[in-house]
Amino acid sequence: MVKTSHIIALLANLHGLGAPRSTKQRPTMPNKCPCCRPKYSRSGAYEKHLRTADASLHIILASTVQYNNIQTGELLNADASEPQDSDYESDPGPAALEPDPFCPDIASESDAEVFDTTSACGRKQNHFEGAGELIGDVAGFEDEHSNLCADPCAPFNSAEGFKLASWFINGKVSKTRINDYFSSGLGNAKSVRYSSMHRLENHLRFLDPYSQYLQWLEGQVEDGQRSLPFFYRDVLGCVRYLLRQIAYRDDMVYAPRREYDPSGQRIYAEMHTADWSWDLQVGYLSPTLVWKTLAD
Amino acid sequence: MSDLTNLTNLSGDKKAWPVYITIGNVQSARRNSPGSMAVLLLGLLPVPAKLSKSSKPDRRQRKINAYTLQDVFELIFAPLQDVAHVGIPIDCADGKLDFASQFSQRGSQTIWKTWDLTG
Repeated sequence: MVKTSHIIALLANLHGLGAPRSTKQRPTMPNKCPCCRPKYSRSGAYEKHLRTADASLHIILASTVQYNNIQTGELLNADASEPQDSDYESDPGPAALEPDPFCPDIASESDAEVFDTTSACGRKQNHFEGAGELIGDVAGFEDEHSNLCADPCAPFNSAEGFKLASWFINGKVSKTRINDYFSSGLGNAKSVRYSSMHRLENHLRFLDPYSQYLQWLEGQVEDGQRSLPFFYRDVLGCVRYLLRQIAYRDDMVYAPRREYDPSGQRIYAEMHTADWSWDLQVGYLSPTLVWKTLAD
Repeated sequence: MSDLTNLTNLSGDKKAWPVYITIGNVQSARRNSPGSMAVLLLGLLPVPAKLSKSSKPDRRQRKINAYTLQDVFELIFAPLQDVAHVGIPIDCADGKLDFASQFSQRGSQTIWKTWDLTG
């Protein structure tokens, strides 16, 4: 489970650019992991991320020490003596300690295999058979993707049309202003294929094929004096909508984990690192139950 | 997150308490970033009139209002009650069908958080 890109980054980092390293030269080091999203403003947090990204990196790190002992020694000491980051929101420190949530390949491996950093502490790991396991394919998923690949601009006929629409939406241009834009002849309706807000809305509806999950419902409730109306959405529809979004695919986590910092202390960060998430796992799936629910 | 909101698109003086929902399966860095749109508006709750604590009928009405809100929540979250124990298959973004008993539970956890904020 050694992640080569991490190791390359780490080695490049440790060996530096030939010149003797000092803390003042730290800004020259890459502050972004090549395969992860978050950027690290401080070198300590970045190195911590690289080190904890995979348990095997400890071995690599140890083997590097003999070649680069002085600088690496400093580096390790600096890491060890560094206090725990206090502000979670503004500082990527604790987030960087996670065993790589932003690398999809490692995340998917962890579906079957629990990230094991506890062997050093001699603690027992629970393992849930079938946690995050797949039970089938989504109908129409392949078609959806092939359509997207065949015509990435759909329903717009060109990238220009898409860009103009996103400029309208992101700029929060009002509907009347958009209509004005076309009626005054500023826009080239032929090149973008829509000439009014109404037609643009049709395009936008096409862009969000799961909007049927988010229908609004109206309810009435009596408070003893009068009847009050209120509006709500189907809860399950909302959950389905969020789980179905391709945009979140790389950030989705299904399998639980236990995370530890280098000194063996348990870290609770994301939902799937909590004990609660472990307790919830379906330890055993009865085939009849699956068939029954699928048939429904 | 669920402060009193003026519904300006309606008649202006309409007020409601918004309730939001999100799921814990999305990493928090993504979920909490402003542009991610991972938080959905689940409902708009009715706002009862403000009442004093002094008079007895008002106290009674406050209690009724509180129960009314609970009823509204029960109605909104009723679909989760059935699913929480049995589980349902849910389409996931990676094109696979997952067994979703744990998801629904996670969903309800998020909702309870929102409930706390509102209550």
